[in-house]
Amino acid sequence: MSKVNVKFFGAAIEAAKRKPETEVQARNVRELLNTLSEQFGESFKQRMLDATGKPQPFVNIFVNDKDIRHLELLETELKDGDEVLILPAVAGG
Amino acid sequence: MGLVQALRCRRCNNRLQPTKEISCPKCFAPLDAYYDYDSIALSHDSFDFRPRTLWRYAELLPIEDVSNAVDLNAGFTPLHRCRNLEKFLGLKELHIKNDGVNPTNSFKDRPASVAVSKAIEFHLNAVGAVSTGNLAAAVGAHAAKAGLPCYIFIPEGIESGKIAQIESFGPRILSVRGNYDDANRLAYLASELYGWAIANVTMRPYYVEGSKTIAFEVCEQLAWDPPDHIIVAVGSGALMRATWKGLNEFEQLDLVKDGSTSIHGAQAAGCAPVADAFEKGKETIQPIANPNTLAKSIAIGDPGDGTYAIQVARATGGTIGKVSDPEIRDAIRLLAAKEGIFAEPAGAVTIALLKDLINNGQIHPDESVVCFVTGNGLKSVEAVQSDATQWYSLEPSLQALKKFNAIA
Repeated sequence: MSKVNVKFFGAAIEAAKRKPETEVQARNVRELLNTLSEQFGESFKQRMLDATGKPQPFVNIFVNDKDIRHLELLETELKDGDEVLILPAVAGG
Repeated sequence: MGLVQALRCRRCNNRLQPTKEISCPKCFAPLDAYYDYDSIALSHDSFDFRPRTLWRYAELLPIEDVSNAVDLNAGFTPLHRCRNLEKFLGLKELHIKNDGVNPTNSFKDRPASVAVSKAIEFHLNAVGAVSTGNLAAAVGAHAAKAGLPCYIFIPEGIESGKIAQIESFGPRILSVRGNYDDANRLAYLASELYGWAIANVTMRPYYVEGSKTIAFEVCEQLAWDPPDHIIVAVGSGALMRATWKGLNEFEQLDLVKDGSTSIHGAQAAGCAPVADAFEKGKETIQPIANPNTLAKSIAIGDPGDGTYAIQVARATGGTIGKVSDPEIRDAIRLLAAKEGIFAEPAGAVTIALLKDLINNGQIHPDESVVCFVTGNGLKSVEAVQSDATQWYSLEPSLQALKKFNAIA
């Protein structure tokens, strides 16, 4: 298990019970979201994952500034000291 | 005085007070501004003596006191009837909406004007943008006019003409060593950490309201009879959705008949995640890590409104297609040579796609079409390198001139 730092932004802070930052032990992003769901409850899980267990369309997750959609999605491995950002999809354009 | 009644979630219809929220707290989806349409009384005559800017549609813009608007006269750009191109393409009716003549030479002056005005209404003390160039100039100019500090996040590889224009407005430029999506993420984080009003992020629900005015103008300029087809460039997809919202609002207010306009989106093949998803029948966009096209203004690998652009295409009987860089370059030259309009690559994608849509029968020769040209060609002269070998070089003498005339 790796110890990673998770930071929430925007509406994601509300989902994390107004906690902007936390530390989690997890081997990959899937485990990380499961652990966070245990910590913050069912409503957090529903905001992060759809009924089939895939990330919700308007949630963006970055591991060390890389979008997990360009990595291995929920199977993206985590190492000690990694920084994970969870934020609403940012529109731009 | 546009009075926003509520912000509404596009996905779950959650209604919120019109505040600085940018995403739904329940499902994180984007929010849109909605007005009390029943209380808005507008007729065709209402517009007779109004300013020839986007502020002529004040009731449908999210600013409470329009006299405080930051106004560089954006909007009410020309709609050109293109008889030469009609003949060339075998089309009955073609118009170009030339938004390259806006104050900073792109359609982005529309949303920038609204976003900076709204930031002032919210008493925010700095504005900004994340941009491939056009929005940066637009927000930079409006911030300069408003006397507000401005922070511009740009990715690598922006055209030098755009950089020169942006710098002249005096913003603080943060040059991100990455692509547009990297710059976008940092701009969002800055807005969260420092409270800056990043026009296309923090001010998003209000910002896009400026863009829809292009659709209002097209209706008005076509004597309240919208065309059969509108073709829009798609980067984030926001303009395509805003165009649809604009048409819907005019229908709701009985200013135009219930719509039969098909809205089509045009992407560059080197960055076409929305067109690819549309072609595969999907709604979820697979982002592109490394966009590669000369149409830099629409080189957005992770388009925030891509899903909604697809919904608009499907709801209106439109399509989302992609065109190659050589096709875009040809379209720039064609539009300039036939109609005297010099477009940037992202502006010319609509002309390139129009050719395809006519060729494959999706647009019938008897139908009417409006193509948006969203940016001026001087923004990216690199795209059409001059070819001096085609010039006639001569000595500065009468004899040399006569020699040319003899062979010409």
